[in-house]
Amino acid sequence: MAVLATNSNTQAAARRVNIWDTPWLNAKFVTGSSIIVLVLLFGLLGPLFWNTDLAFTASSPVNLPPMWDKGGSPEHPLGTESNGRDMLAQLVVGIPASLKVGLLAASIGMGIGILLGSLAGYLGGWTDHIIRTITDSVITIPSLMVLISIAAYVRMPDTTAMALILALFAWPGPTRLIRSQVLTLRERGFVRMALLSNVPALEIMLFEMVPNMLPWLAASLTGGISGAILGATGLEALGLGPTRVPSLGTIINYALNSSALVRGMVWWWLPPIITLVIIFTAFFLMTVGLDEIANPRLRGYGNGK
Amino acid sequence: MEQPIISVQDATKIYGGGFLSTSKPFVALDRFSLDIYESQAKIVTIAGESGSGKTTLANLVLGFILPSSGKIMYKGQDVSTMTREQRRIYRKEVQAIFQDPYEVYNPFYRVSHIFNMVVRHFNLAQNKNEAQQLIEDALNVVGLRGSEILEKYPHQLSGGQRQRIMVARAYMLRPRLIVADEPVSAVDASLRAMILDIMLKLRDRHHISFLYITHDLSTAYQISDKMYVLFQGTTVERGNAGKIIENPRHPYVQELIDSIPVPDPKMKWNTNITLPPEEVMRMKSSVGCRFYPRCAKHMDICTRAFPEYTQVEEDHEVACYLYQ
Repeated sequence: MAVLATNSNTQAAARRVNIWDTPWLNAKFVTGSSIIVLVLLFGLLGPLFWNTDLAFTASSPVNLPPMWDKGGSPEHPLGTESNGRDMLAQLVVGIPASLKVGLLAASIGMGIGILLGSLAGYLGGWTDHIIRTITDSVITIPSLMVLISIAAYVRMPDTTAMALILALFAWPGPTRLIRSQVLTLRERGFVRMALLSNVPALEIMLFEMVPNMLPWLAASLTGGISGAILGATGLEALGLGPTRVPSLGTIINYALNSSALVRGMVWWWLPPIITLVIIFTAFFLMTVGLDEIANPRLRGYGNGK
Repeated sequence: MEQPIISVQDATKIYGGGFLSTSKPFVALDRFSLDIYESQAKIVTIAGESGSGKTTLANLVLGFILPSSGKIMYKGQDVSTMTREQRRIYRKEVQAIFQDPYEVYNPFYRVSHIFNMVVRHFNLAQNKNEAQQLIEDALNVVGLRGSEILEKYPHQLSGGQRQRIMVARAYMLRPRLIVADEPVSAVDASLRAMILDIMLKLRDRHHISFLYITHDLSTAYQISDKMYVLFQGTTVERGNAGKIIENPRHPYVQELIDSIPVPDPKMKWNTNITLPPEEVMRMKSSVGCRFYPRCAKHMDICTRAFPEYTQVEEDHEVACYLYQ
């Protein structure tokens, strides 16, 4: 009994140490995801502390500088712009809106990618040929040009429509990635074991293959999100996004239209740009971190964590 | 006449050389035939060097790949045209153990996953207790206990444990045939004996046949009843395992048996093999004996056609013009 007790004690100790010895504690990944969590919290908790109605036209006095500048007021700490919108309120509303577009577009792209990539990789043959040819063709299309033409024709009522349009070009990357992963996994011993255990193909895909692709999927998703945000911001800055709901790109669009640059209204155009840079950096760090988690060879010596 | 459980009929597998393909067709397995009967459980060895087509044969029998020509029949039913229910029974009765006992575990799951899959998809048990009992019984056959291993992850087990678990998994289905693709090549000597012992036990007590695929003639000699020696996809000698190893006839098999190292430091290992360019004789277009470029006794006739099988003694056939 005593032997058993000490045995389980050492096991428990080993487990306690091992919790921290995981590739998921990658410095880049942790930094990136922490920043995203902070940005998200700003957007999610912001409405509790700040009146989001101030994000709409004529809700505040116009052209107020931030509170630390001469003429600023603590009622509008980041200032207001020429249409009478409060900058802080616009950021509180705009950040989640932009993240939502990115997440939605990337998730749809990922979903299509998982479906097509798995079919191509698992079935092979003609299915593979057809899917691969279409995917490779779509990848070569300059997407921003097509997106601009589409967005110019479709009047977008909200961010969801925006996300759907962006998803049109968000699936070829994930499709190729997943196809190649499925191709290698298909030859693995545990997939053969599942075949021998009479496991149906769909279940093999979902429960044997997908768990082993998680780091790749996550890296591809974070990359996809920042790509979609970039696309959405580009369209919005050109004035092709939904105009009613403020988002980071829309703020930039208004600033450009109202010549904020030449009028020296730094507080108008700089905050959305800084926020975007923070978001892109964070997603980039997450993607690179996840890549290192998925490919141990990239971790290098000594900084395995 | 009894229906064989597995009947390989003139199976040929050719890789590459398809429409629009730039690679030349490569013959992995050439007109291989084999019958395994249910009534008399046997260990049938498929022996040969790397690239001789052993694993291709295993994949064919397991239905992972389809033959380019010829047929694989399971109880008279072609494996490539099975219904879902027929396939389920075939999967239950024809199981496998693989060479690498780590690869076959999904690193994501605990060891119990491998048993749960089997229980669930073959409806082996009505409830949890019954399943538990089945798993425990199967593990006992290979000398393991469920409480020791089921809740662990595969990397926490030794290679020998992992391979024994795979044997237990296959046994749990009470198959009629287990395809063992180099099951002892990746485990150390003491475990090798143990796993071979389990195989003999399964044959004698549970009447399970084995298709034992190996490059190691000494283990083949110890446990197998029948033997097929492959060379570059062709069967060069077949018959009783003991007879072939004690009295090899084909020049290739003679060379192979001469090259088994003897555990005696005073014995000098003086087999001297010169290898011709690897795949000279391997392409689809080539006819004749594939051993020709390496053979010390080759004759002109050898390149004309593949030799017929000649019976040199009871239950011992060889494909070589020297005996015709």
